[in-house]
Amino acid sequence: MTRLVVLDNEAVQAIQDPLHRKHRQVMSHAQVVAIRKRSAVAIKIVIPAAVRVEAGWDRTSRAWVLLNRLRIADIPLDAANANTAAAIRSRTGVSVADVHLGAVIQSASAEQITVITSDPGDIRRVAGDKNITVAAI
Amino acid sequence: MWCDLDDEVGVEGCGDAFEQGSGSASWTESCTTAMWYSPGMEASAAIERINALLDASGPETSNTSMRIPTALRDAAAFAVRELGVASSATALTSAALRASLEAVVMQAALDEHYAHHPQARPDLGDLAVAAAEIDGHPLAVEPERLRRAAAEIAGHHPDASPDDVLLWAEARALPAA
Repeated sequence: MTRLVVLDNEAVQAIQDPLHRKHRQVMSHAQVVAIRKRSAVAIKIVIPAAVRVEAGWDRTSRAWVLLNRLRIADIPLDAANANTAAAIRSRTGVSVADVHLGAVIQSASAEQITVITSDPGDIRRVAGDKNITVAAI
Repeated sequence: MWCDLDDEVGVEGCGDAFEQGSGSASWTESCTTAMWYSPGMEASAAIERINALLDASGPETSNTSMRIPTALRDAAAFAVRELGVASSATALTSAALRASLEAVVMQAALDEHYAHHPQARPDLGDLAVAAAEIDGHPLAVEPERLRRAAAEIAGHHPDASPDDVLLWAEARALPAA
């Protein structure tokens, strides 16, 4: 079973800033993923490109060194994802970052998808009919 | 390519063989060619280098003289042929090696962060709650129960995993028969 853990903007901010009040909480999620990887569980953390933009995460900047090292994969806003995201935006009116996150959820083939987010409501709206797990921070 | 996998290869060269045991790592010299890092290389630089190599997804491949147990090689070939787990034993080996390295480098990055920010290191209770949240476990909504379970189990089993805590907490939550 493949598992996908998707980060939202605040989850990124929380990892990036050791003084963020949710830092240890989101580090716990990252640590659990590392433990599972060590046990050969097929699990990976991803970041929709639009969320990375919203978070200001520049992979060439040393300010983002920890996130850059955690093997968090970019999911590009390609043509297919853009179409899905546009449809979600028309329906929900939420931010571009969140609709890209929704498009990632809706197009993912992973059997289990977990979104680490500070906005569970919007994430459930953009997920549509897809069964997801929401880890609220 | 400067040396074979027995010598632990980097794209631009090789270094000391890296051996990882139970929770500790050690270096043994075995390469006779130029090293791209020194035995005293900062963990930080090693993490960067390994990540860069893992991200380099070009078509270049190398023959290696990596020695693996014959039975393991045969098991891989059998799994490919009979179970279709991968397109080839080479693909299976590469995928397993990549997964293993990704786990190692991710943990190394976290460990380095904890070294600089000890307050960021989660305890077993934090990890149990996080595992429950990631899995959508019913006990995710009862973090205090999970933290109590973690405290109970940690006293007797210092190496307990977050999943051990979840199982223990789940068992404790069952009504007595």
